[in-house]
Amino acid sequence: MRILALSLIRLGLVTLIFHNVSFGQYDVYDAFDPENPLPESDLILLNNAKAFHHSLTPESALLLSQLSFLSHEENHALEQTFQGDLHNLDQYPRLNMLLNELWTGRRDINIHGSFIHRINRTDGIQHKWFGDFQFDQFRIGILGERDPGELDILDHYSIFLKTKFKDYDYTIGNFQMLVGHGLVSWRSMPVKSDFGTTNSILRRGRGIQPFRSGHESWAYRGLGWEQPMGHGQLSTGISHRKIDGSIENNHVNISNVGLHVSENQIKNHNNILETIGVADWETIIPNGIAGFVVGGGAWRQDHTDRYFTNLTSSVYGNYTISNLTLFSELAFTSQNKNAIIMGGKMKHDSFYYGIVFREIDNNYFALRDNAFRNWNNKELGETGVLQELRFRYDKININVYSDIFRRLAKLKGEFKRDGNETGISLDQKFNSKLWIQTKLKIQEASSENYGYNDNNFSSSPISTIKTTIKWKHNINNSFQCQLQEKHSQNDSPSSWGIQLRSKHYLGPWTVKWYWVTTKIEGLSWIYYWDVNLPGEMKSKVFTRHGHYLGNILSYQTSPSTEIHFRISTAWRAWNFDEIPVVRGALQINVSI
Amino acid sequence: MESLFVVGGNFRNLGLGLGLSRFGNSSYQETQISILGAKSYKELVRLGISLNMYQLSISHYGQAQAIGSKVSVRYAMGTHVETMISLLNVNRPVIGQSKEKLPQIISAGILVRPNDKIIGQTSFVQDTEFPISVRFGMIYRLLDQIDIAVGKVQQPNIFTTGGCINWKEFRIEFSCLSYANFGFITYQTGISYTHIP
Repeated sequence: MRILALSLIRLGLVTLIFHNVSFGQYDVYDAFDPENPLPESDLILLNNAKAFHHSLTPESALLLSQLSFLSHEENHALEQTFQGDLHNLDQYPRLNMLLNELWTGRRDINIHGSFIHRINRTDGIQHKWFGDFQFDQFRIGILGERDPGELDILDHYSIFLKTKFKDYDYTIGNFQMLVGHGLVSWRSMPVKSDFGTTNSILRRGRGIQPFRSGHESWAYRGLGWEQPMGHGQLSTGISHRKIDGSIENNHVNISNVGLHVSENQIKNHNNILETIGVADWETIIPNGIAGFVVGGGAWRQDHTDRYFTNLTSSVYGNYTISNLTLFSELAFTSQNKNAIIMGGKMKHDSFYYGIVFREIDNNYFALRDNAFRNWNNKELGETGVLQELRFRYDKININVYSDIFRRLAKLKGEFKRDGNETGISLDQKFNSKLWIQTKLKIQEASSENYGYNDNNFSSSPISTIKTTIKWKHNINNSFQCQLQEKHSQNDSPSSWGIQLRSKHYLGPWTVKWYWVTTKIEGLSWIYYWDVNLPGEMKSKVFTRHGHYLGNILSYQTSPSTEIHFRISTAWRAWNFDEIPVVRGALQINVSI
Repeated sequence: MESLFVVGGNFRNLGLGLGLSRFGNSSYQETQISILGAKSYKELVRLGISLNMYQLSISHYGQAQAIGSKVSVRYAMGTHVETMISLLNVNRPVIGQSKEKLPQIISAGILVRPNDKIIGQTSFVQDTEFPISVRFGMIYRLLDQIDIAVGKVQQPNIFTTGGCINWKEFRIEFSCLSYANFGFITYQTGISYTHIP
């Protein structure tokens, strides 16, 4: 009750100071926590869906089904819709919101390809190119990137070709393999505890998919194919490539950085030669699905005599009884490391309950494992239970989750072995114009904040309360206000932040405004979604008192082409008495 | 002294050309020979590729060669806007015994034609070893036969001005570049002949 009362008081405060504001590029993303970034592939998929398709069709539904955050039910609804079995998506508000944003207005031209060039000025200039082209039964994707300071014009590139021949689906080039629930092979981004997380964890992987993200070392590079076999479906991948990273005693650390500027970074570029083979066979059983994965890899590190091999296998499946669905995956490796993830969910009308248990051995490493876990540090292992409850009371949607976790090995020093995280969210759509949401999250887990000078350890429970108000004034003008308060529960003062956003359509022009003011105390840093161009999903962390102004100006030059320009200004002083940091970006979206 | 000659034609819907450029003096000479190819798709996209042979000759030191490339794409974004992007030496060529890396340059730009008389452009040129250079320019059609142009380059700081005379199938161009930080001016002239059967 106290929490609820506190929320309502803060909600009132927000209402008083609410003036202007807006939505992100896709409203559905606003619901995610900016502290847990989303896979870049999701953004590229949405851009492709918008560029290539006009409405929900079997092809567009197939593309959307690759989005990482959709629940099993939402996927099922997509399939039913295009098969003509479902005509109303009102039960799926996220899908409704997404489809309305993607395909407003009618467009009668056929698109065979889309291409994006983004020039982003941060500490230097980053260039990024994305392309996706469909020629008859061939789909070709390209991605190129040159980070600030990198000497090579095309420091990173990724290419895939996907085609279908009879019952076989082939992907040549860069691909990923999503099998089971992530204990053997998964996306580059793990799922973290948050509202709605059980949806993503319970959804099993969909086999071989083209790799569309900018992660430089995560993709398999070679040949992947899918074919019917026996009474099931076989997905197989063979990969041989160089990656960045290091070989440790019993695992491989794959670098997530992808920056090649310093002498050391250049020396360690593509320093590991990797060969991987992995296969997954999946079949339908009465009331469920069962699958078996087997894979192996060999890694050799340049300039050293380090060599590592690993074999891995897993079994997974799910089983549905009435409203209850149970799932599990159990994996073993030749390094004698095991991992298990299991759980269930129950859904009845607006009531939903999900529970997930995981236990992942210390130093567990398979091939591209990235299962749900709280701590990024894999050396110490993790076990934990996540529960989530969702229901509707009167007109309010209530979502509660709780995650309790523990390291399997103890580390000397300040890191605590146990942690927990709890959140409650209330949201209500008052009418077609007004929507209000309040979230409270309490985290108690040793964490490390990476500062410019040193790394800071924190073990105190941290509370974050966030209230968001969205006002859609009319079809052309929308506003959003978000107030955030964060504090450590050790009597330290609170950090506060307010974000105001607005979005305006003026014929072929679109203007977005963005303002943030923060008052930061200690290490209670505040995160907000940054002002993002289409295809970006960057968050911004505020570590000092200050103000931030951002603006995006977009011009639609034809029905299938757009130019976007962004400029942002940050004052890292409360009284503006500092030279602001100015950043900019230009993005050109074209289609053929 | 820098000079450039290009000749091109159309063969089976493919644009083909040959280019020669020279830069330097009697003791230091850079020569570039280019084979050019271009293809248009739906009159929407124009793709150009060139294969360049670089030759460097220094008196008393000898000479060295390298093979480079340039990929360019130009796209019509509507009736009034065009965009382009080009990547120079994407194949990472090196030259000489010391394997010195040749410049790799990313260029991108937007060209706007608000009406028949005015063309404006903004472009970004990024040599991967130097800060980005932002460039603005405008051409105004004074008469049917005469155009005038002005421009500004940031990094290095250059003001440009020029013009061109269109006479039958010939086009004569002239320009001067004023280097604000160095205080000197350079001149460029060009002549082109276009015949469309």
